[in-house]
Amino acid sequence: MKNALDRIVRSQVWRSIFRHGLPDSNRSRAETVFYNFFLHLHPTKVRKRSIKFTYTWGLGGMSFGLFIVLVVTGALLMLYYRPSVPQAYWDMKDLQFVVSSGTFLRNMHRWAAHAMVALVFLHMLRVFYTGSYKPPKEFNWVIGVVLFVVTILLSYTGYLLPWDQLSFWGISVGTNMIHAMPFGVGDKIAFLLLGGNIVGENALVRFYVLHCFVIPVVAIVLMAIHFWRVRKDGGV
Amino acid sequence: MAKDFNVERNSDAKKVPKRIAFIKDRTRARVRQEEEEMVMTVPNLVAKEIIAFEILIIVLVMVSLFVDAPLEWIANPEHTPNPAKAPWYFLGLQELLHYFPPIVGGVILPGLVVVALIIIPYVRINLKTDGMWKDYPQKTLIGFLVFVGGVTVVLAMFHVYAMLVPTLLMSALMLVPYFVRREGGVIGWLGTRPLSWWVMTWFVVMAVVLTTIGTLFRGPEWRWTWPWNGIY
Amino acid sequence: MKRSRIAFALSSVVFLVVLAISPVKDMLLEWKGYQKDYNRLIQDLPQRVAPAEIGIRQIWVPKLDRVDRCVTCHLGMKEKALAGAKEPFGAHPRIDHDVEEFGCTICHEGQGPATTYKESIGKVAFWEHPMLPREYIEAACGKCHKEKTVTHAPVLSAGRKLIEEANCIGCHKIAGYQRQWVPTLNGIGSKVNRAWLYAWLKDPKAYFPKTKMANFHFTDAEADIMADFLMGFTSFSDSASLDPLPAEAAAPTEAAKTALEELGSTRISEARCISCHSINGKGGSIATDLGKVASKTSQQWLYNYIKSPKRFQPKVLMPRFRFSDKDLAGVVTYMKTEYTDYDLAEPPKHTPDPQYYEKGLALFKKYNCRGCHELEGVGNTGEVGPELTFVGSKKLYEIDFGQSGIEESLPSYLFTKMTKPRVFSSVAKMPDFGFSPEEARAVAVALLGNTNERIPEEMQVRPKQASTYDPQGEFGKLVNDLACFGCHTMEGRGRLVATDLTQEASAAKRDWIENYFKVPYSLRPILTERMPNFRLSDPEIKVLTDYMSKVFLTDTLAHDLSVTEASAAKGKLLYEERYGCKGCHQIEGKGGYVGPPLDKVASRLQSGWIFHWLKDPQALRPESIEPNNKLSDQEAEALTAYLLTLK
Repeated sequence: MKNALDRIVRSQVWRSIFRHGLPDSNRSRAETVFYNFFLHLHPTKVRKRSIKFTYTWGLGGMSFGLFIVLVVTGALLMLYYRPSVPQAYWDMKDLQFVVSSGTFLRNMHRWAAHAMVALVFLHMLRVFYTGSYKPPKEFNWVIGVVLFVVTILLSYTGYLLPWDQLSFWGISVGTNMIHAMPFGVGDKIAFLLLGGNIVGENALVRFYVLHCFVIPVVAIVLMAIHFWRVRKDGGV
Repeated sequence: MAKDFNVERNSDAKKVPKRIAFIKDRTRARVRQEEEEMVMTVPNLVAKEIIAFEILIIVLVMVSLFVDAPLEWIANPEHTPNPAKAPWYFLGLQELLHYFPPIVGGVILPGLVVVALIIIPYVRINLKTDGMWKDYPQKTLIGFLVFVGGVTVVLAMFHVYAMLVPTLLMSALMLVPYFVRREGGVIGWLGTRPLSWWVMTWFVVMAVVLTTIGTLFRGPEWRWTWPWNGIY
Repeated sequence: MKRSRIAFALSSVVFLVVLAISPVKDMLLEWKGYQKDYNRLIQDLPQRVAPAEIGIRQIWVPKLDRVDRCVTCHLGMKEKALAGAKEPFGAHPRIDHDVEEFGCTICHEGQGPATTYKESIGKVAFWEHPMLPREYIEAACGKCHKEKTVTHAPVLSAGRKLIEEANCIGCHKIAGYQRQWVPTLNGIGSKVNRAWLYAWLKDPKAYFPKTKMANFHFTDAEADIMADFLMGFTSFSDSASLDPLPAEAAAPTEAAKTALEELGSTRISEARCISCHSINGKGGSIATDLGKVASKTSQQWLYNYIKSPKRFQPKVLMPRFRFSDKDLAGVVTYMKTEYTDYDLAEPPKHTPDPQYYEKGLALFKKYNCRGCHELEGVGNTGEVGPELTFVGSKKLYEIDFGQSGIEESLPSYLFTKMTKPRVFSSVAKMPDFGFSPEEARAVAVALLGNTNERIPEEMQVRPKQASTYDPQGEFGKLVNDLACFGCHTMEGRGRLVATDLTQEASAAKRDWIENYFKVPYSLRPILTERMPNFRLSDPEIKVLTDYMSKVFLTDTLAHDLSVTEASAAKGKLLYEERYGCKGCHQIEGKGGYVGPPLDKVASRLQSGWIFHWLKDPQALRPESIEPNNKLSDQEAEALTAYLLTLK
């Protein structure tokens, strides 16, 4: 049994995929971080002080964790969702009544989205109160603020998709605020966002595209830069 | 012994830019470098990350199993619910809109907040770590009173008591260390808070208060309702 | 290190377990249990019934935009063997609509896409259409069936009739209803006395229990103001005026008065007033009760009105009887003696409010009296109530249930609105129509059927176009004067109190018709409504019969046949033995009372009519209760031959 495992681990196929051995020595542990795409953002060694939970409260990391949950559940939800009126609403009902674990998926997606907004905000506060925005990390703070706005936009664009009264009027109230912008700019922006003067099918499609493609891509790019700069500025 | 130099003790690098270290005979010259204890990322950090992620998901799953995401009536453009509310994270803004004209509550204030957040690291005030009353306490007090007075007038003018009351409470808290100079304790701790800390805290308190009011205390016609009489 | 390993292992195990909960729950869904129950149930049946495959079933009806998953658990819908089985497995009672074609929720409502009991019933938050309670189920018929009388939906049809009769469209816009004739109030001050008006305003049904006038629950002060306001309108439409009582009405002696009364009594019974009017509750229900009419109005007005009703109520369906002044004097004298309410309470003393006109006008407008009653000088205030064309699609969140404390559903709201119209709001103005619970439910059913659901054109049953038949010339004038449409239907217009006359000349012989006008008698003695004797002149009768024999004729109904003794004898046998006609019809005093007697039927009816009638009575008169015995041509001819011998 152990022999067979050894042979697999030593096989060329295995070694072509994992260029390091099992992390059982400090060397191979370092290699694990070094050669692994997902771990390479981390240094091979970290200060013991900085991995204490209360040092960062793990808020940024958990926000990212929620983002992953949202991507996974979101992708699954997309399989059952049509961004059209009124099918969008009936698809919610179908999720509830006929899709296996459909309600559960939607709940996960919904609560994770709300939690992410809250956690990102808390993360921002933590960074401020620990003074972590100070040079040389000024620009990463700016990216963080943008990411906070992006998180809210992600949540907000998703809010319309179930096409119930809550969605419709939540979005109507929000987009009415845009109209307050002076010189007719607000009206133009609102029209562009909704694809019309009121929240209708065009708005649903636009919000769907924003929610499922545009804003996530922006968020992923910004997150990559954000994490990379954390690492470059000496963080974990 | 006549001195031809002046020794000033100060840890503030701006006031005393050059430093001289006197090394007496009794102590050996050596730099005490703090040796940070380092650990391997794998498994120490990665294990913690995974555990944190797992616990996060466990909590999320439990919530999702027991609390269903809301799904109301199908959208009906002809019937506005009363009150029509945005998602909770915008209810602070919606509460502002209740007090201020749309251009102020919907555009200027949120715009200012975002801009203010972005420029935080580029403003010198935020780099200072001293308590706000440390330097030029009189000047600071005058500026402070003028600012708070202005804010009070504006808020009172628009009847924004939801913001005015916490603002005045916080201002009182800020003034305590000015009048009661004490090291240590709560007052001492407050005294060491820099201005940027106060501003951010004020912003957070405002955001929390307004969002809470908008979420829990507002009913039909945006009238004040107690949460136990129904959350709208 | 060890501690973190344990934490890692523990959290990973919990993590995996927690993720498995939802898929495991999916294996224990409610509907799967029902399907297994079903498969167990059918094993015990003597008949072979195919077991259900475990899985969600649905009926998808694209043209009605419905997905109904009710059949996931209602598995025995089409299995005759499961008639009366326990729910949800029982077979569906036979209906005219195929379940596969129409789905379930188009009739039953409820939440079609749902797959749990509670959700599918639809009495859950945020679902607009919970299942219709059984007593309201006919509302669903009304969504597609827009015709006035819907076969197999008696409650719906009754509700629609009530809505039309109560003249709801006076205040509410509702598509598909006809405005009813309501007396004009012009000249009311010259017609009624104030004491009566006050009592009437307070409670119309106290005077005439079957009146369509609703109770507005006026306060004493409001009733006073309204009475003063209305009594001010003393001039009639088209400047008609009251003639003085004829000289004949003056009865100087008791004997003369008694003679007059006797004359009046005779004329009243000859004219068969009780065909339409009731006297203290006995008689017809088409027109108002006359039992206390002498306390309502003056002899002078009665004289003028009976003499020529349309002068004062231009559109009233009361015929003008050809009474002489002497007859009329007798009639009104009799009415004065017999039809007085000696218990009519004097209204409380009051001094008229100096602003009674302004206040009265305001009340008149507030309660939209103009919605039903015409009144010169007061313009149309339009519909004051909400439109009800789509009231069945009203959302629960659009309804204010106020402090009523009733079940928050649309059927219960509409039902309560009919029985206690002002219970939901203190400012509600809707009057009380005094509906019984059954009537209120029928109205609610009819209203619930008024939805804005998109029903494909080919699935809708539209009402027939209202007839535009309007006879002209001498005949037309007589029809108007005699208010024929009040009882008879002609070419699709009019009421069906009496015979539909559209094919009368194909049915009855001309001689018989002429005689009938002279001496009308009822073919069916058990009916209250009878043809009155209008005392028509011979030229008038000629005008009527000429027109009828030319117009009210259907050529296809002609069927000549020769009567032989053999065929008549065969017919007699059929009459007496095979079809048991005498169960309902009388000949020479023997037989039942349900149908008209058939003595002399040959001098009344045309041979073709008898033949076609025997073949298919409902083809000629859909409302007829004569059974369709599906006679062969030979049988029908034989029976006709027999009947033609009864001269």
